[in-house]
Amino acid sequence: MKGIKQTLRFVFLVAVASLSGCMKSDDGKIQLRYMAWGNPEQLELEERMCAKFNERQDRVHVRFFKVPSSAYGNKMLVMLASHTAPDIMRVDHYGFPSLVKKDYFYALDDLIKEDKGFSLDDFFKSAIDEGRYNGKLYGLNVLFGGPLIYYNKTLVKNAGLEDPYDLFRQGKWTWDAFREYAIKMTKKGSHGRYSQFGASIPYMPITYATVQVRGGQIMDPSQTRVMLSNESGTETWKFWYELRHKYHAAPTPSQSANSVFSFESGKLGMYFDFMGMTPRYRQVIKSFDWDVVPMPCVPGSKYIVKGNQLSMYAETKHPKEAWEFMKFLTSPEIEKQLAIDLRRTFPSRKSIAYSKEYLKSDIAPRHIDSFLYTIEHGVPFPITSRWNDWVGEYNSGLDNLMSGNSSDVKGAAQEAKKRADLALSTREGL
Amino acid sequence: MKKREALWGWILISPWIIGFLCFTAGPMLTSLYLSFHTYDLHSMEFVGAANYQRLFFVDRIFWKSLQVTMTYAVLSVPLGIAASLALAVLLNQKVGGLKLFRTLFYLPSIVPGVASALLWQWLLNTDNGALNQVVEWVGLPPVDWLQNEKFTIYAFVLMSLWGAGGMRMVIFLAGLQGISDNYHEAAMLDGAGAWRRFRSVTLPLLSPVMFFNVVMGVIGSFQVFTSAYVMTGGGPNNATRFYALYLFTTAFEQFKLGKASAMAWVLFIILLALTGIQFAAGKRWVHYEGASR
Repeated sequence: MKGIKQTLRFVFLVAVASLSGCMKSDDGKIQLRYMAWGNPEQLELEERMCAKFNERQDRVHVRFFKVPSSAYGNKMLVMLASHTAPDIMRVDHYGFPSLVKKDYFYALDDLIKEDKGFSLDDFFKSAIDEGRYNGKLYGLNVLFGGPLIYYNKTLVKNAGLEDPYDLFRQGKWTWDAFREYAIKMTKKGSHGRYSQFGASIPYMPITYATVQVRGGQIMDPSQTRVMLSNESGTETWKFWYELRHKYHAAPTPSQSANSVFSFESGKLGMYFDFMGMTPRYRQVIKSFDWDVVPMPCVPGSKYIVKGNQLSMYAETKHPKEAWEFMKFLTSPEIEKQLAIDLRRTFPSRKSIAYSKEYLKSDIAPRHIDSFLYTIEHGVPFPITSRWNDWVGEYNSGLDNLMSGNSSDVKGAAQEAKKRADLALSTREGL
Repeated sequence: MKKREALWGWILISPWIIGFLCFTAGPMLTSLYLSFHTYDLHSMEFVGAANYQRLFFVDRIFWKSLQVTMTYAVLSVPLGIAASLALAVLLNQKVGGLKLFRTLFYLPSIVPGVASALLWQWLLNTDNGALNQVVEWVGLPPVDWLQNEKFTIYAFVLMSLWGAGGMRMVIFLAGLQGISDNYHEAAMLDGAGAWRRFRSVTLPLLSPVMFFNVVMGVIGSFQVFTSAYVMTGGGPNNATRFYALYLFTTAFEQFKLGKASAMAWVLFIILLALTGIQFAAGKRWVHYEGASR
């Protein structure tokens, strides 16, 4: 019996010693944790920004907590639910509405009111609107932007076409022009297979944005009903279906497998993506000239804008210190560094976005005003807490059309709407 | 002394008991409890049988995923068993380089799931895939294996045969090696040919092993996840929305943990029923040496 007791005591002591080894003493400063995700360059940059902030602080130290992109959403949710979330975190707007309604984030309004040196006036309205919920502000926008068209200038020139940006400036950049450009830049090789495509069909949900810029709606104003299958929406699906399966000017998923026709391959004329792709393209594209142009937009319609929210954990013990860090990350100094010196992001601040230094770029993309135009004429993506409930359902209804196994555009659009409506009609959570 | 031995017994077995209670029994009972609630890691609400009611009477994808999984099971289990058995019989022959062949046939089963899914994605590509090159070579039009919902399930069944040389084949091989040569010699003396010996001697004596492989195969076919997640994401039009994949997306993309728990229990009941049916049917065709019938 004595032997057993001694064994148990030993096990207990080992466990205590192991656990105490996990605890870390600090240097007396207030310790804050900041969590974000990104590619290695983005993470290195954020690490440098944290270091810069820490250098200037006597009382506060921010530790940068990196989580891989693929696990970020789940990790953040588990940390929030288990009351172990970091003090400040970057939240993708796809997940923000469902998290903010659970009171996970700190309302910033009082901190802003008390801070005489800070004003929201310098930020784009759409950037601020994204972080609002029930009239209160829960996040400042970072990595802000909207989808637009990246185009291969070399292929455009080789096809004997006028630069799309020039057409845009002349008011002639329409969806018909886009289709004509896509068709003319598509080529077959000597073996009879396509060697070059004029455009690719945008990925979801940028396709939803194309419904909106063609005069349609994504959701109704109450954001409870999907409107993507109305007349303009159906016309948009027909447009994409025909571009791929009638004109063969956009690759099918199997043709574009293994990134054969990615934009950086130089075998694709036009590609839709968010503004955040520019640093990568600048880094990898060396063999051709490229630039950006806004999507064609019918008069009276709006572009889509979307960012990430920099939010504070509702249960942080140091809201004032966390606010200082949030202010620092969205300060003109940091925005200038990111948008002008490093040319990585579109700024959320108007003072930076409209500055001559930002608008004049010596490296691709040179048409920086395309970003600005998209933002100026953009509204936030209508993402609600039910986003994940209906998007997959809607998309599955279009699968057969987009893969060319059906040509019934109207039927597919109605089927997609029926599926999405059914998902939305069910009580949230069930 | 006995008491002391018993105490040590409990202490030594305690890691397993604690592990079982914490990591198996505990989560199972928790998931049963959750299946009667809505739960998104933030708030929980009792909803009675609403999760089950929604699954059975409202959720179109639930039935679609069951249909996809059942079709896959019906096709892949018999074909997989036949392929594994054929390989085991071949590798049970006394020919040179047997160890090399056994290693080569076993290799695919140790390739990580994601890697083999990516490899098959390339093999099944409509335009450049190796499989369609064969199809075109015999004069048929290329098949849109992963984009046309009529063909996707066959693509996944075909892919499942890639693992035919894995553990199932090893179990068959062990079973074959456990059959005494005396039976074959006696059958040969009675004038039985190779096929007759296989049908009347090998198969009956191998039936317990085959029964085990069928039971495990059916259970395994309800757990297809990685390949569908990587290759098709459940599409096109939910044609590869396998049950396990749907359960995963419900739990960890939509965070409907109550509904996902209900799905897990439905899966458990289905597998329990199928296994029970197999045990009942097994009495007719599984022969245990020395067992009285």
